[in-house]
Amino acid sequence: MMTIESAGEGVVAVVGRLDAAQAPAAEAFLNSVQGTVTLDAERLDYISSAGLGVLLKTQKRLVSSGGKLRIRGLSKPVRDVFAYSGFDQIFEIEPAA
Amino acid sequence: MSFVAEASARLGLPPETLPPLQLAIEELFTNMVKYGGVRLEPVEIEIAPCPGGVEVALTDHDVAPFDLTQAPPVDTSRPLGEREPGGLGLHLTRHLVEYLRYDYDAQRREARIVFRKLHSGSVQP
Repeated sequence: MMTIESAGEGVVAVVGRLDAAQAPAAEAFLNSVQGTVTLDAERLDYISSAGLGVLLKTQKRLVSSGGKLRIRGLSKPVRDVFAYSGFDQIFEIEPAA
Repeated sequence: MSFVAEASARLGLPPETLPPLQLAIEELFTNMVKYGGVRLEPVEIEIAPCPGGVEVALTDHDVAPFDLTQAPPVDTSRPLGEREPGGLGLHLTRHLVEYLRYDYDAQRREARIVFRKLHSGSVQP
């Protein structure tokens, strides 16, 4: 189960599990964001390569138009997956608010 | 993936074993389905304790051989402009598990991937 929704100006909150089954819904939502966006991932419990692929595509699109996707608040298991993937080098990662 | 959490609880696995176990199973399963071609039977997943950890076997019936464990490595140091989605599933799995093996039985047209995830601090048996 995953929910992704706007959480204020320039902030998107993702909650639950961003796996292969949920990646299309996350991608559909993130395709609508523009500019510089903070993804509040404090309550993201799990991410797989399918979810990482969605974040990568979003980052490429936003950066190409002068914006970016920042990530805020990663749990240890999700942070580990980011580190193993090198995503900690291509995303600005902020601590939880 | 809730069945993995249920099996993990039933086997009394440490909580920190569950996230990498779920991730490795998801990545291998999705790759099997993606690259295994048309199949009539579901992929079987067996989870069993092994010395120091847990052993998982994914069996795909009546498929052509495709050793997805031989996928090329991903250079995770490349900058954003040179990164492409895809290929990360096997990369992550190799990081997360201590043993990974693919076997193919040509007579039965059966592909089988076995991996072991050891508990933190355990030594490869």
